Amino acid sequence: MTDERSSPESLVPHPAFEEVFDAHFGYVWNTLRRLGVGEADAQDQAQEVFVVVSSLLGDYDPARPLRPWLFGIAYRIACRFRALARHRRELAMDAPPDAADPRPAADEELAAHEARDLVLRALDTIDLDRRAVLVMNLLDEQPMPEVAGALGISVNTAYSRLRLAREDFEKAVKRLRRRP
Amino acid sequence: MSDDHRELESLLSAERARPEPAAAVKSAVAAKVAAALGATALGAGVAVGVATAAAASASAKAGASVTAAAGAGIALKVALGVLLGCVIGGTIVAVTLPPRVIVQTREVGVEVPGTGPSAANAAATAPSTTIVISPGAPSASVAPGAPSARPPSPPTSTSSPGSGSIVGGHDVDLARERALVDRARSALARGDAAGAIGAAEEHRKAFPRGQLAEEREVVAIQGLAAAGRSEEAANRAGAFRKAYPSSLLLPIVDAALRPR
Repeated sequence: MTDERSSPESLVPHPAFEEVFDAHFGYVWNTLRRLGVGEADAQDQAQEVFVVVSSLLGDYDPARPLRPWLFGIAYRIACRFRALARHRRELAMDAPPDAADPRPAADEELAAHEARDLVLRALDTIDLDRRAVLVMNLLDEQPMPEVAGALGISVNTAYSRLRLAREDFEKAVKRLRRRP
Repeated sequence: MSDDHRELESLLSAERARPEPAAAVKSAVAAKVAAALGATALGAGVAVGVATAAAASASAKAGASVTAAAGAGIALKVALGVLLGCVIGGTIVAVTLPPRVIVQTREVGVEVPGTGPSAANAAATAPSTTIVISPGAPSASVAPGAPSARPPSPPTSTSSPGSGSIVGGHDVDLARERALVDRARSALARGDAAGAIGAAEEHRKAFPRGQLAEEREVVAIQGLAAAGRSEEAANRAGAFRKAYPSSLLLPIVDAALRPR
């Protein structure tokens, strides 16, 4: 990357919406799934995320990493979705596993598929605010300050939620392993 | 303990490698986003694609919307091009898009850098010849001739499957709500403030406390502001702030109220 002397840092161009959508659609989609949006609802919720993204992109500081910023938006959309969808809560469990994955069912692939299925089901038992921390830190591998910033909480709170989420997650995995 | 740890780590690592959804899904969402943001030139094709997708998802599970995506899929590149315009505004848009969309940029966007006022005020006629879509089956029956003002009707009466109101997890009400809100958004994006207000009002009457009430209020406020009814817009925005103090959409409301 060449350094253009004449352009100060504040003029780092904003990414174009098209690029954001193209490069990060999959990330947003998977994030929504991990935050409890079922396959059947993910299209509508992804739409909501990107409508908001397009409106707020001007506020995004291009010097910062994009994914935590996107996560913050996806998280809030997911929160609202979960609140609204409480009455049809069972759907998340009801939804077919990611069937649109026509890969050869090699043993390894099958095992990975089952593992992911288990992870989603275990995640789904964890309170969303804890879960968000776990997803961001353990799956997206974002550093904790970044996690806290995206979720609008203090770093201490983030750590405490992470610890609780981990415990919840481990328990859920054990339980689900016993009776899948 | 360390076994447990290893097992968890292997689960997490499988999940980290979760594949992305199929391309058709991406296209479908691109088309929905384009329609919501008012991709004018896509009008008939994509907007109907969305309506169809809503209807389809009301009547079936995942696979159905992928079918609907087939029609809109062709439009992906174009749709995103239009979206690009919506976001970055300014001169690129002025070349390729009708000016109404540019005005929308100022209303919807928050602090869109580089949106020159001169571009926004340019009032040339709107050639929609740059983009031609030949939609597939879902929207083939819709006359694409009049891009200006015909929102697709919500997929309500015809789409509801006879077998009950909840199918595959989507209740029909939600699909109707979404169709109305999408209609309001795309009207607004076309510069049709009255149409946006009308659709939002229709939603308010049918679903005063609907699941998409928050979105509806935002588009209503934007519509009122765009129509120059600033006092009503401000009042409604005040009520919105009370009702949704931590709304993600607040910046959009603020932007709508900003004097143009």
